[in-house]
Amino acid sequence: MCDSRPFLSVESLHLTLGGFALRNMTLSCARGEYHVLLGPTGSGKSTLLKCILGFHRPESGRIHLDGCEITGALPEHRRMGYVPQDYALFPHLNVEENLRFGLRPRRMRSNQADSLVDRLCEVLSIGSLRRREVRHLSGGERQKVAIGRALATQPKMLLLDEPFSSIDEGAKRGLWLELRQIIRDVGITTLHVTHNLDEAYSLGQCQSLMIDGSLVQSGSTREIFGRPINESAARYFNYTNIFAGVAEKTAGGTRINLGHFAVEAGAKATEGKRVKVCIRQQDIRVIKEGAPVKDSLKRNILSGEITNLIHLREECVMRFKIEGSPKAYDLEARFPVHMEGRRELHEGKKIRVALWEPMIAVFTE
Amino acid sequence: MNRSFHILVGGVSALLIALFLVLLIGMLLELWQQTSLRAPHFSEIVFAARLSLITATLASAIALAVSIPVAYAFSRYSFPGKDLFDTLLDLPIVLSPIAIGALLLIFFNTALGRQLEHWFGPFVFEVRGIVLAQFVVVVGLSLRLLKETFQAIDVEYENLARSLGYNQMQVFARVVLPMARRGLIAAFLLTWGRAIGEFGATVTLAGATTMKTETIPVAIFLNFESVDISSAIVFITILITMSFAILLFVRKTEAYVR
Repeated sequence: MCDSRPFLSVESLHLTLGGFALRNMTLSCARGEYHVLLGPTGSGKSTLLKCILGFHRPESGRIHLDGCEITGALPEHRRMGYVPQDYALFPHLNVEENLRFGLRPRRMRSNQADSLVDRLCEVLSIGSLRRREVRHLSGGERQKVAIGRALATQPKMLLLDEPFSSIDEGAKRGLWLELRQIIRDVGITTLHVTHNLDEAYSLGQCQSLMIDGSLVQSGSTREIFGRPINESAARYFNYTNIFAGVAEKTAGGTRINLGHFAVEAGAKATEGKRVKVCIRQQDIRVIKEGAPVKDSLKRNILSGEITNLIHLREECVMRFKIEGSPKAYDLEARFPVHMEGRRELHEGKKIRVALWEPMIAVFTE
Repeated sequence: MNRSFHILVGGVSALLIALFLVLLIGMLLELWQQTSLRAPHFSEIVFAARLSLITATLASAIALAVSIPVAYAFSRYSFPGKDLFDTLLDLPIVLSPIAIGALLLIFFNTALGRQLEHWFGPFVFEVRGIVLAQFVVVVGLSLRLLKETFQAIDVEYENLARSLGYNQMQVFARVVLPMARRGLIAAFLLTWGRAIGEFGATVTLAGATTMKTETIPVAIFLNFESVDISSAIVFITILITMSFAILLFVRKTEAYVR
């Protein structure tokens, strides 16, 4: 788990909004941590964020920030910087006026305010935009101004709601790095809401996964992405190969009988239990015949043929049918485009694939 | 097919424009054919124009002041009976102005109405009655326009301002009103234009007394009633000019603020 002393803590929070409910939400975020709240669209991430900000009042539960309870505090008293999905830059103000907007209620002296705005412009590299109308800004520039406006009030923490949703796909990755650097420079505790796995992985030190109004799993990025806690979490993290079977004891650990094939899963399941086996697309490797096979792959080698190759922009998805299988295909694997040519892969080719055992997820049904 | 479509839309538009031009030309021809041209007394024109300007400005300013909080409440909050109250407040838009005037007249004949006249002075057959009648007629329009204006402002701007330390009143003053400025200007000018042409409710509550409750529409009525067509046409021309100027101003202001 992340740092044991939470800077932000949400305890047993319940909220009903029409037909949707946040149920027993518990979340903690350590001081200085970049925490990503991850989940599919409609899972309640933004609703939870709005509860933390004070825009929705929970029916029960408590929220603490920096040791103080803020459950019933008004949004204007919480000292939280907020960057909404479409940035909500005030269209009647220019860039500098937007940056200064939050300084008025703080009654900051004008020389202090000037130096703060200068510093923000420098950190965010938006000095040249100060007099510009916000409607003339690009997506990336708008995002920086929105972050600057939130940081100008020197908040205790920063809350970002899908900050890259209106950025062009091609520009996103560069901006992830920029945002990470800005947050590191400022050193502020950040809670970032997104449904994008790559964005979450690139930015977050800790992650919390929400599905259907409940917190499913919370932990470090490596832990969350590598060890999903249940089938729904696994499905969200792209474990597209999911099978039901029964665990059997073997000399080397546990074998899971999945009907027409079996998987060795170490000590991940108890003998006799019905389990679900989840395998990510990227954890299925095509064996290069004649080359040595790694130990972690050796125990799960399957023979069969390629039924389909689906070409994506940067990757290739291969559908693989295990020898003797009654199905149209059994596994979906994903690999870089260049692998197709290098291994001379084509539809109908007989190959062997190996499953990377450490990443096979097994859940008791 | 495309050509037929263009002819259809262009033809209907031309017909409608022609209808209004014919009305205006008809009025000018009538003025031309008048054998004994008699312009109204200059003081009567000044009185009617001044009274119309003052009462319409007061009525629309009060309507706007009342509509701003009410329209905001209806655009942001949910409460029991909201649809019912919303429909009730829309009634002045569809009710005949004479019916509104009659309702007001009947109200001032009740105990509460008489008590109000005791506190604030007489309304029936008085100038303040004109302001009240115009206010009741235009407030529905003002509400409708402002409700749409506030609904068009994303509530996220208000949330964001609150996260920056502003309370609800400050958010309203520094975010909602500046962002609604175009709608506010348009609502004021359109209600003002509606108020300056108001006749039915005014004449029912305040009466039609020369040089007392004589607004421009009342002056047109009084002159028509005494078969003084040329004087009526002078007042109609003043009303048309003022209304045209307002509408043109609304259009230009909207473009400028945008």
